[in-house]
This record gives sequence, C-alpha cells and structure tokens, in this order.
Amino acid sequence: MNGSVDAGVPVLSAQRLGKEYGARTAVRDVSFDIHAGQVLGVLGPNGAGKSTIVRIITGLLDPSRGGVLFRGVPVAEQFEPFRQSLGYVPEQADVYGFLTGWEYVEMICTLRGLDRRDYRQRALTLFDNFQLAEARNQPMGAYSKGMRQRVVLIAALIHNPAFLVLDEPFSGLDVTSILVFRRLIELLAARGKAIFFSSPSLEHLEQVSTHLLVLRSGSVVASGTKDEVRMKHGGASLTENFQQLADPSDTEAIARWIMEATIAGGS
Amino acid sequence: MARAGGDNTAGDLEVGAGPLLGLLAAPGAFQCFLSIDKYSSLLNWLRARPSEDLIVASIPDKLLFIAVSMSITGIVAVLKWERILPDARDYANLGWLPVRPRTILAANVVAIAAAAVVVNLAINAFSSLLFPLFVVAADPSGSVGMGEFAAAHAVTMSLASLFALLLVLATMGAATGVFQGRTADRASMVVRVALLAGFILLVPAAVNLGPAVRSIPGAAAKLEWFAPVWFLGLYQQLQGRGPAAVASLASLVWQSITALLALATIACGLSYRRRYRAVAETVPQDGRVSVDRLIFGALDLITPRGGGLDRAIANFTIRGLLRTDSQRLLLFATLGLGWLIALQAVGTFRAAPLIPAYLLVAALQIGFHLPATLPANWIFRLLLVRSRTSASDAAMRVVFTLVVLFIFLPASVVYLKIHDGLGATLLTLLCLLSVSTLHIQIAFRRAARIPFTCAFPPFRQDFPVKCLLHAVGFAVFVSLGSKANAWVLAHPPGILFVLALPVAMWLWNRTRYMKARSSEDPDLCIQFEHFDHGSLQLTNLTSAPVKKA
Repeated sequence: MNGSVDAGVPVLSAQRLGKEYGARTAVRDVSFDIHAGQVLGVLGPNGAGKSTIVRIITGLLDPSRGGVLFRGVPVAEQFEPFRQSLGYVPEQADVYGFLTGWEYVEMICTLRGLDRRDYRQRALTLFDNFQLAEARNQPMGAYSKGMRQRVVLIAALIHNPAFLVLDEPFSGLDVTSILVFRRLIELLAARGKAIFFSSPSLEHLEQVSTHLLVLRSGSVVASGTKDEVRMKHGGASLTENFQQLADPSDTEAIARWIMEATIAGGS
Repeated sequence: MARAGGDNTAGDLEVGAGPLLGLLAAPGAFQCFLSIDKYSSLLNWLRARPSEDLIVASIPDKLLFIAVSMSITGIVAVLKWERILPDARDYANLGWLPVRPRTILAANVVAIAAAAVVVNLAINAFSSLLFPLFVVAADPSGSVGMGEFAAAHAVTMSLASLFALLLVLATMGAATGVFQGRTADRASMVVRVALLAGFILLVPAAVNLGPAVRSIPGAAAKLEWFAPVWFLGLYQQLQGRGPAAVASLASLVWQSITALLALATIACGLSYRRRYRAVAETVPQDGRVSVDRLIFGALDLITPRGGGLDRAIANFTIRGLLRTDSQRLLLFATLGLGWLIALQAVGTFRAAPLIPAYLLVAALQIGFHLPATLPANWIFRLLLVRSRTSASDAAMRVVFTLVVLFIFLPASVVYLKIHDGLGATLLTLLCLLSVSTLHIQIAFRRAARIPFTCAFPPFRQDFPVKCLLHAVGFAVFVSLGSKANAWVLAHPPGILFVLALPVAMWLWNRTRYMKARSSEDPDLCIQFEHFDHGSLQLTNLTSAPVKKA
C-alpha cells in the first residue's frame, strides 16, 4: 500500500526533540522524517509521549530541546506557510458546543483566510459525504462524539493540507466511518500528502501506515518501514513487536491475575 | 457573552441574550418608575412640598443610577472574565491555525468592548430617556433642557460603566498575570469574590450616602474615596449646577479612567501571555491540590456515617454541586454576601441569619439545575428502584446539612455572644432553623427532578421572572421568619407550632411522592435521551471533585 514516496526534502522533520514538564521528561531525543506520500504510524503505550510529540509538531507546544523543520526550514521561521499547510485532528474533538457544525467549519475557513466562494461547495460536499448534511445547522452541543469528530475531520481537510496530523482520529467513529476514513488516509497519501498518524489500535496502524515509530517512556525504541521494524525485531506480527518493544508487560500473567482476583472476590 | 444556544459540555451559568439584556435593563427602568413619586409635580403640589432646584434635588437618584450602572457592568464583567482568556478548548481549536495569539487577544478585546457597549445600552437605555423626562417635566421654571440632561446622564452612565469594566480587567488581569499556576487560580477566585461583594455593596452604599452628599456641606470631600461620587461630580459639572465640592471631583473620572486603561492593557496582555503558555504546558493532574482536599475532607465529616447509599449520595451531591469554579463562585459569593448583609443587621435584627440562609438555598437550587450529565447519577437513579426515599429528599438532606453548617453553626456562636440568655438564643435558633427547613422543603418539593440531569437549565428561559420571584420570596421569607421569631419569643410554647410546619410539609411531600410512585408516574423515571457519552464528567468520590473522561 506504499504510496509514491518523495525521497527529497522531507515535508516534516523532527530533530532530536525533547520535552520536560517540570522534573518529568515526556519526550527524549526523538527524531523522525515524514516525506510526501508517507504515513508515519506512531505507536506506544499510554504516557509514551505520543500526545506531546503531536502538540510539538502542530506548534501547540514549544520543545525544551531540538526543533521541527517544515520542508527543510524551522517552523518558527515560517509561522504562516507551515500552519496553512497543516491539517490537525486532535484526540478529543473539544469543539464549541454552541456553534453549529457549519458555523464551526466556516469559522476555521475564515481564520484560514479562505474565500467563501472557494470553500462553500467543498464544505457542502464534505458534510454530505460525512453524512452530516442534515445535522450541519444544529448546535454541536447536541452532536454525538462521532459527529463532532467528523466535523473536526472536515475542518482539517477543507484547505487541502500538505501535512496531516491525526491524533487517534478514529476515536468515537462508527465502523463504516472508520473504514471510509482509513481508505481516505491511503488515498491522501497516494496523492502525496505527508501524514502523521497516532493510534492505540495496532490493527489501524498496520493497515494504514507506511512507516512506524515505536515509543516507550518518551524515547524511540524502533523506527523504519513496517517490514524493517518487523524484520529487525524478529516478531511474527506487529502485536508481538509492540509487546517486545513498547510495552514488555506480561499480558498473559496480568490477565490471569485479574481473573483470579475477580473470581476470588466473587466467591 | 450571552450564548443563545445550548452547550451541553459546559454545564455553565449561561442565560440567553434576550433574558440577560432584559435583566440588565430592569433595574434602571424600575428605578425610573420609582422616582415618579418624588418628581411628579401633581403629587408634590397635592402634598404641598416646597419647590426646589431639581438638578440638586436629584443628586441622590443620580448617585444611585451611577452605582447601579457600575455595579451591573462590574458584576457582568467579573462573571464573564474567563471569556477573555484562552482556555484549553480555545487552544485546541485555534492554536494550530495560522492566527497569532495577539490576533486572538485583539479579537477577544473587541468582542468584550462590543459586549460592554451592548450591556451599557441595556443598562442605561431606559434611564437616559425616562429619568431626564420625569425631572424636566417636574421643573416648573423650565430651566432644565431635556436634551442636555439626557446627554449628561448618558455620558456619565457610560463612563461609570467603562470605569467598572476597566477596574475589573485591570484587577483580574493583575491577579492572574502576577501569579502563576494554581496560585493564579486561587488569587483570581479571591479577587472575583471581593469584586463581586464590592459591586453589590455599591448600591446600598449609594442609597445611604446620596442624601448626605446632597445636604451635608463637606460630605463630598470626605467621600472622595467613593468612586461613584466622582461621576456624580462629572454629572453636575456637565449640567453646570450643584455643589462646587461635588463638581470638583469630576477630574478624578478622567484620571482614573486613563490610569485604569493603561493598567488594564498591561495586565490583560501579561495575563493572556501567561495563560496562553500555561494552557499549552498543562499536564493532566491526578487530583486537586490540598485546599480542595481540605474542603471536601471537612464536608465529608458531616455526611452520614457508616457508608451505604446515603453516604454515597451525600458525597456525590456535594462534589456535583462544587464541580466547577463557576459553581463554587456562585455558592461562596452568595454565602459571603448573605453573611456580610446579615452581620450588619444582626445587632438589631434577630432574624438576620435568614438572609444568608435564603440566599444559600437559592444558590443551591440553581446548582442542582445546572446540566452536568454526570454519570454517577446512577446513585440517584438507584433511589427510584431500591428506596422509598425520593431524589429530592436526598438532595434536601444535603442542603439542610450545608445550611446548618454554614449558617446556623456560626449563627449560634454570634447569638450566644450578642443576645440575652441561652433560652432566648435557643428559641431563636430553633425557630429560624425551622423556618429555613420549611423553605428548603418548598424549594425542593419537586420529587420528579433528579439533580444535575437537566438537558437545559430551566432558569435560562425565564431568568428575569425567576429573579423577580426570588426577590419577592426573599422579602416574604425574611419578613415572615422575623415575625414568627418575635411571636415565639413572646409565646415560647409557640415553638412547637413552628417546628410542626416543616414536618407537615415533609409529610405532604412524601405522600405526594408515594402516590406518584404507586401510580408509576412517568415523571419519576428520568429519561437520558440527550445523554452524551462524549461529554461525561467523572466524579472521583475519593479525592478530586471532577475528572474529564
């Protein structure tokens, strides 16, 4: 499923990123490149530093060390061009409940400086395709989590971004929407978009990513194409690799302890 | 500032734009109509009142208009202060867009300024027209021009509102800009409560000081510290009449507004910058800081002992009531204000504790109606299945506990100190507690409504009417309570009758509930049709009051 990969200047390059919150180190010396047409799947247990990296590369958070380059130039030196090329779907669609879905997308488009004549038809089509046409004029406070997530997806895609950051984008979506969106990611990558994709689901990552970045306690423990990661670490599947690299807990033993505690508590 | 649409995720103290503007306009309009009695030339002729210079005679009313104008603008600004600063939601939605933080700040300031103009128009629209009209119509000499009077009134009231707005921005900006993190939150809360109390007390202060400014020579100079008097000076200066000592204070208006404008700009800029960074750096916290633990720990001591459903309900309800800063502000500001008024009156007015008691119960009523879609409401739902107690009974028990803790325990200490004898003190406290319990029984009589489950706060739809009803209810409650107390002190056996009233009310409520329960009244079954799993708030019953799911 690898799309057309541009081997030239990466669209986004993270260089030795580090972040501390007080005394706690959230991210330590993380580097990666994402080229046009690549989908970088980021994997790691809770607290591995995925969200912090997402916040750094979207410009929401300054790194304590290292930097982020967009097309070879530090993002700090190109605020406007970088953000005009960025589409972002956060982990939780914490939208303004008093705005309708349509108003929200209009607000994002206006703040992006898009011409109403340009985005209107595109937005209508996206609302229609995301099955939100009927609900678009209702306040988002009345939307389900999946509906809010779909509105945020529309807002992230409407300006045709070159670089997409998807932080657990399937959260709250129904199965059909997940299948549609998964295929959409593949198609977008095939059209040359660079995509950073974080998900707790190994299945989604395996299906969608061209490259993997495995994190543990804020550090990179494996990176490369899916096949490289698999061959290098010898696991038969991504699940085995994940257990080996990112979360070496003995899941079998933990499951047994929980079962025994449950049965003992109930008897 | 006034959202017309619902935002289920907020569960905040929002009212619609229409009711809010109506509510803001009401005090000015009422004040104008109340002044008819004073300025009606016919009534004055019938009463054979001597004619006087109305520009000077109207000084107390002008001071009151100024105080009301400042007070309402200030209160609205304090309550809406958080809207100026970015929160986590603003950050998540706007932080990654090609919009610089200073642009967002400028947009917020413009929005606040526009809202301030609308608020100012709503507050002063009636009074700028009606008050000059009544005064000019009452002037037999015709020396007062309607246009000039209305212009002077509008300019003065607008500047008074602007002063109050800038004062809030400067003070709140300084409080949140100087301190950081949790300390800034605490400082912000303390300053907000102080500002709210100050703005509310402006009105009674103006009522008391107005006649003195008008009639006592030198009073204005002694009241130089009282900002509304500066604006009164400007008012008189614009009209070219009145005591020179008052008009001389007009220059303080311009000096103070210039100083506050500069301070507010710096403080808000600094505060915004700090907050913008803080939101980005915020790490999810596992629990609240020790002050919260202390508050909830203390409240846990008074909840039913021994575990079980009653204790769970009490724990859940208290945390639900205090789940957001807005709700804490509402409860503690109401309590503080009530006690402030009561302590001024307690020496001469035996039933003074009824003042904070009424206000606290009213605030708790609002707290229960704020939508939260709290999943732990299964605790209340259990009542419908397992218990013979209604949800309102459970809520009432918590309210009663809070009223005893925050009103009657401190009141007993005050009474023992200032009133004559243990017997009279006990009788008074029993009587007032009984009246207060009756009020709780009436306020929470609806068995069908389970706390925190409203999809839409009911007071949004008829907010001005509810406020009016509460004003009347407050007057009736305090007056009847006071009379009952005086009667009991004169006829001590009468306490039995007073104590029987809440018991009778409880029995009546219970009979109604049991009847509804046996007839399987659908109102008793709460429908969670608008239940939104995406906006769940989990209430941690062991330590922290709120966690986002």
